[in-house]
Amino acid sequence: MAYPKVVRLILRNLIVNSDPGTWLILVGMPTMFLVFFSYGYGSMLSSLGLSYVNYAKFLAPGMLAYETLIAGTASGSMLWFDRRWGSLAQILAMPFTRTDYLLGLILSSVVFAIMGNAILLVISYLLIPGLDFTTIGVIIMILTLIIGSLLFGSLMLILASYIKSQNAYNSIQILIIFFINFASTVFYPAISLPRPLLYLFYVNPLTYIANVMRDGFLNKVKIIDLYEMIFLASLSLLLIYIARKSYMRSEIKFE
Amino acid sequence: MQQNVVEVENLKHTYDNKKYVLEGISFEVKKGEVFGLLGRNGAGKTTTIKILTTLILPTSGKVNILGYDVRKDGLKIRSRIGLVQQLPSIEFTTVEKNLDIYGMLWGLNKKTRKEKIEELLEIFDLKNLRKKDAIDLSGGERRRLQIAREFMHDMDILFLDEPTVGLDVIMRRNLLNYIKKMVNKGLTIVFTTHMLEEAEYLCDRIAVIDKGKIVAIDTLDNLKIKYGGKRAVEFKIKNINLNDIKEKLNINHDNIKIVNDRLIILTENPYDTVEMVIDKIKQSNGKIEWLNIRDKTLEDVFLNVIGEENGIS
Ligand SMILES: Nc1ncnc2c1ncn2[C@@H]1O[C@H](COP(=O)(O)OP(=O)(O)OP(=O)(O)O)[C@@H](O)[C@H]1O
Ligand SMILES: [Mg+2]
Repeated sequence: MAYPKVVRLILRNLIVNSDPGTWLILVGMPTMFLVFFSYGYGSMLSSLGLSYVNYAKFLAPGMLAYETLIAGTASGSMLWFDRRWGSLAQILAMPFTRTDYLLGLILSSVVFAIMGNAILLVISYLLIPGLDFTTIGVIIMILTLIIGSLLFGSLMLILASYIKSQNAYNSIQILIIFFINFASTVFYPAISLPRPLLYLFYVNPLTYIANVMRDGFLNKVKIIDLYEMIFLASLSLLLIYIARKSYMRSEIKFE
Repeated sequence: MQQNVVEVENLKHTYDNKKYVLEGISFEVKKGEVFGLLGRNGAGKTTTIKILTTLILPTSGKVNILGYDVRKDGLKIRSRIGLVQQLPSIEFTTVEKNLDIYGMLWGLNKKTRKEKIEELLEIFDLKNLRKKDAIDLSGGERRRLQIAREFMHDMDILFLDEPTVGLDVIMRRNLLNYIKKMVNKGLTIVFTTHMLEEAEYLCDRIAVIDKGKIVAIDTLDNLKIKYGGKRAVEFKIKNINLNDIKEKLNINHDNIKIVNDRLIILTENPYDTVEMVIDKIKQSNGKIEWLNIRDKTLEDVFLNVIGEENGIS
């Protein structure tokens, strides 16, 4: 029995895109952040009588959230890659619908997020003493990473549909990663921020993803996390819908 | 009566709603036939192929593939056709994996894939390159891979858009022979090229397409009789007016033309004609600078029909 079509597309995406470079970005970067920032800021905190562990515990779930953003951007990069190397036109001439292809991309991002997060979780566990995960916490983390990568995956596909050169896309992608990342609670809590910055943080979906991820990671799941997840999931569905629309409209121009 | 597997009727296409790159073409392809679309750069070959393989929607006209409408049943059509596109396309992995991924995408099981891969590596002379990354292959090797992988799966019609570009002579012949073999097993081929000898070698029927119109369509033999049946004798002559010599020669108006500084005569007996014309030129104290008798090839057909279209004749 052959795999369902979308599964075949995901398998293909994983095989073709699993080069060392991808994994360096997916796992190497957040690991470096985790190590350098934990110890770096830790030493600053120790002058205040706090240990690095306090910040590492804050940062590790932030990195899991960051990972969903990076995995999400993989879908846009994969689309560009397929355009650039003729695979897109070739796949669309096979018995796949355009929606199959798009879903394949977004779900590949989800798989990347799951694998990347699993590795990061192990690294965090080894690095940070005194972690104790609960079932409900882990479930929340898994759901959040799925929702997060769906969300950013479709967001990047919308961008990739409208931007007409790969170079422009790459630059914008880097800019967006930085912006979304730093204007969120990934690295620092959103307390005592100046007003405009505070608003910025709270229109940024990564803030919510980081918050929920953190509550799951530290076993502090609250009812508000559930609402945030429902909100994020709805936003993802909306973005997937828009991604499909914009992609359908744009793709013929790219042939 | 053989069944039509491709039916195109008054197909028009525009990319920008201004200029029509296909201006109402019609043709059909029968099961088991090798059908060639022949035309110069920008004639509309690739556009036609893209519409037939449901990659782009036609602006207007009827296009049926295997009885299905390209507008409604794209998925059904795509599950029974193969396409080698003009643009290069490879996956970023080894030659062997390229074939394997392709088979996997087509839903073949592992065992079938393995067998097919061995067979195709052999046929397309890729055995020594199987572990090499596709990105490190030469242009011709990549093209071979791109064609080879299309034979991983079964299909009823194979569309080939200039498949042999970049292939060396031996590989080109190998490919054409392999295609012939597959045709004998019942495959239908729609094939574009601007290489006349290829079309001549492979095609049962040929449509010559120019600026979005089909300017000739028939079997190769018929085309030759119709357009290339007579050979063309060309003269470049000094010292006399070409029109004068044209008057003096007792040749039917349809068969004698002046193109630029050349006199062209279409004839079934080129050698007699040459002798006769030389006599006349000598009588008029003219001098022959250059003379040429063209062979009867598809090129004649091509130049003839395309030439007429462009007002060369
Ligand atoms: N995506 C597109 N957008 C706008 N115009 C296009 C597009 N693709 C092709 N064209 C135009 O349509 C015409 C036909 O192009 P097509 O690719 O079908 O030609 P072709 O016969 O395949 O030529 P070649 O032998 O060079 O491959 C050309 O004038 C080309 O510029
Ligand atoms: Mg072309």
